[in-house]
Amino acid sequence: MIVYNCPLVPFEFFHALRIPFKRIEPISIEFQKLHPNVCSFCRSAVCSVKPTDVLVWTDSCDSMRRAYDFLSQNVSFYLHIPVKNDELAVLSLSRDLKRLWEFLKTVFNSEVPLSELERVHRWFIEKSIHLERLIEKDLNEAKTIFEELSNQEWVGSVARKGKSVLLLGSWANSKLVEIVEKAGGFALNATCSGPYSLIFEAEPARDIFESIARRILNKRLPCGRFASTRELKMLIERFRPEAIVLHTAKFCDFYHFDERLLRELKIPFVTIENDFTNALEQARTRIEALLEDTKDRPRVSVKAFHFVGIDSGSTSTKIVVVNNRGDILFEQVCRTGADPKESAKRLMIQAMKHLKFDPQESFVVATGYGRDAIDFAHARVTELTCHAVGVKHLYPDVRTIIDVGGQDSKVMRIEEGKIVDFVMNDKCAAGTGRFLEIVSSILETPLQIMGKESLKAKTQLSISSVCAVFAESEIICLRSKGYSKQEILWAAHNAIARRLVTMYERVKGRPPVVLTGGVALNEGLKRALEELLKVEIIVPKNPVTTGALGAALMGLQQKL
Amino acid sequence: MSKKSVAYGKFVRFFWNKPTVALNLLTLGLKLENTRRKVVATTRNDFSSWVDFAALSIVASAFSGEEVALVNLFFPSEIMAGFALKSVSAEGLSGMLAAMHLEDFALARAESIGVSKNTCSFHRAGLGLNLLNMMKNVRAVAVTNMLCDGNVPIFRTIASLYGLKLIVLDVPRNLDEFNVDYVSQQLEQAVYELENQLNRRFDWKKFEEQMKIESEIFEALRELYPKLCEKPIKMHLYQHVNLLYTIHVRPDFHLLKAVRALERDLKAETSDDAKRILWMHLSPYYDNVLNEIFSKDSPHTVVASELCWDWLDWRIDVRRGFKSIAEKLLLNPLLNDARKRAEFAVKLAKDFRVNGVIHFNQFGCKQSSGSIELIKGVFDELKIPFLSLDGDCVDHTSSSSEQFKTRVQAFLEMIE
Ligand code: SF4
Repeated sequence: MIVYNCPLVPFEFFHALRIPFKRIEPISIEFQKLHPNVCSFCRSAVCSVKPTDVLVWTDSCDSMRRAYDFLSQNVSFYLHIPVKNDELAVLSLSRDLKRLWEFLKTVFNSEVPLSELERVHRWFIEKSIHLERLIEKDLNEAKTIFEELSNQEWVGSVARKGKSVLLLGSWANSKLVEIVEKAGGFALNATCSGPYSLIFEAEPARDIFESIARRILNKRLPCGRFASTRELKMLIERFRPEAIVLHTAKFCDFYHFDERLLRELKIPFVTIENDFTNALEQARTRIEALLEDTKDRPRVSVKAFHFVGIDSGSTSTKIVVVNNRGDILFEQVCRTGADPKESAKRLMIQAMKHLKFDPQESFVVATGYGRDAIDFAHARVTELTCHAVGVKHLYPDVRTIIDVGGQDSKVMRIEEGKIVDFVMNDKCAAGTGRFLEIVSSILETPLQIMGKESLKAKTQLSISSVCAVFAESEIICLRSKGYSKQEILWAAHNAIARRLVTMYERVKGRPPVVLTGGVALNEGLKRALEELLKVEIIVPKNPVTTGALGAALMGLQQKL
Repeated sequence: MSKKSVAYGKFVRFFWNKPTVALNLLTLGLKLENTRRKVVATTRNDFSSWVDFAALSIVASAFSGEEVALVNLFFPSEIMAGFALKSVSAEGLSGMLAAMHLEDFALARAESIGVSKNTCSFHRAGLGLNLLNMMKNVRAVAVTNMLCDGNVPIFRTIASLYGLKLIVLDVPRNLDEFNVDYVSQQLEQAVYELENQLNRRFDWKKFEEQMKIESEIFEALRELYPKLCEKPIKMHLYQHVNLLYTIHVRPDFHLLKAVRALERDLKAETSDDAKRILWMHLSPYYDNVLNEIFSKDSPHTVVASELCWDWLDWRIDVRRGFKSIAEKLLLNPLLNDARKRAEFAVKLAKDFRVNGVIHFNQFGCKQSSGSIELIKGVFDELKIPFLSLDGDCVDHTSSSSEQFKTRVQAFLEMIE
């Protein structure tokens, strides 16, 4: 079996030699010997290599180079792929390809003549041209060709229904496609697991090796490692996608640079950083939010008088009930606990008792991480959209929402009541309420008063770490150096605020700015943000329930 | 890296919302410090003072209005010398910001265009600084994928900010005649592209002068190397960074002066009972506890830093011109397999008779720390204590000095 690491390999060789081949693929374990700095795709995919595999390994990126250090027990060929595409690079690659051909012939003891390689190459090019045409016409047919050429499973939708979503970035798997499809889109995969990894521009050449080298370097959509600019415009003009999912592997250095271009092109997109270990749960929320468009939602006929919004968050569940004029009739918050469904139900019963209505007279919209668990909900909407709707209701001019929850934080830019850009942070505690909790426990200052306390700081102390792991030792050290609790608290609030400001800049936030979420009532954070952003920050009376309020209002919008 | 720089940084920070003022202050600060270092170097006339001065003058030229080429650490600056462009590396600029604790502005700026927090902070800050419009007279942007290919998209973005064509040097992984040709032809190509871009001819004389200076520097270093191994001169940890920076980005007559001073320094008698450490990869450039632990006068000194010696075997042949430079790049022991790198590090460790080795894993840097386990394994076998230390060289907020302290001290206790 030939195993290769990246589709910049000469597939023609494998076909001509008739040796089975496959690409490495992430599996659910991680290769512990590779330092955590190494890209998550690589760390996991290396585990799929078996000692008997013959490797054709490209030095496509630093992570792949380092992974190769551990594969020396395998019979292998290490192929340098130039980062540019000019005559010199073609020459260099064609020399190496020639060596690789000889190497494979020796390893597999094969006498395949060059004429056979030439034939296969012509066949490959023809198929690849055909594949490119078929992407627009017949995805089923495209799938067949793709699988034949690459021996890889097709990753992407085969039926066109719903909104077209272009997947860009690094190797994506069918899980991502499923999420897109569930959210009502069909996924065109332009990552390196999709057909664009096999679409090239052929060019006349002096010999077969040069011809293959040109094919490899003339990739229609050069991947992020190349020095040339990524031809995203061409793709976007061709497919006119309604949205883009930019899928990056954690610690991959290449694809997040696409963001700049996507922002310039003004296409709705979302960036997802995949660490290939967790279940892409957060990705789902983001993709759903991206594809959500209230106007498209089917209208439901209910004889409801009570519009209920339930926001099932990771720490707390909130309920808001509004009447058909949008006035708030009832609000309540409780801890989510182990069973999100139960806590939601409890709140619902409380609301029904208090307002005296029956389930039939209500329309329930669920939001938040636990929204899928709430089986009595009539509709589900992501918390991003709900927040925007809820806050807009309270402050019609709002342009930016900063939401800081216990486990995640998000910054959304709003135009005419709709989200036009957003970023989320849910990977690390820095920049979320979690960090404040940690600080609160280290300094033994209750969460409720720590903001107020921080404002009493007399000097500006800059804390060097917002990483929860490092914070403890750092804070203890500061304490032992004699800094007051207040000073450390102020520094901690500033540290979180700085993270949020970066997110604010990323979405090009502008005032009026509304701060919501469990941490919004913390005066320390509010002040720190105000000082850094130099704008006044608005905090709603009930900053935790804006998501639930939005959900309730979304129900109201759907009333016939 | 000193408390002074941090204090000055604080002052500059105060004016940050007035970019022109901030930039002027930064320029002024660099100028004053550079003058101070020059005075120190001339009076003391010793190796490390000249190195300190040489390193800062590289960075300072980015702010002085001189024509500069923005490059990464491994791009051969000899080419730029032929165009009378001063090479400044993005890594050095990031380090300078970090020394003043001002890197957060640059990092945040880069993140705001989408650059992931998980990329190397040298890259992020280097790009951020350009996005902040702080560079004065950038005439060329050039990159090589030699060690680290995360550089390529960063420099691609930087070049686009100036509307310049990015000069790219693709360096394969091993040294053979074909690859020497391949690299040297690319250098010719680069010269051709730069001639068009700058609208002036490549000055062979200047290029050869630069090669000659380097030849002198490397010859002298090679000659002094055995003595240095025997009796390493005392240097602060950060001075090793200054040295490696100067050697890579702009080995000019300042460095030559340093090397000449080294000869004298080595003759002076010093008592030597400190424990010897070999440092691998880079070290944080901001004021931090590592610089205290490994200061000139502490009982543990860093006697060699890997990246100061990676080109020791390069025999410069001025007549061979670009081919000679191609050889330099291709013979770098860090270019290929990690085992080769380990072999080289072992040689340094043995030559300098070190008591321990510390590898600093710069956050997000794959090429240096990716297969660190393997390098550690090699040292373990030789029973040379090895510490793999995680942290960030630029972002002073992302690793804690307490973490460094505990780990390093435990390690030092281990080798006592
Ligand atoms: S530290 Fe590593 S990733 Fe950063 S510039 Fe240097 S080699 Fe590249």
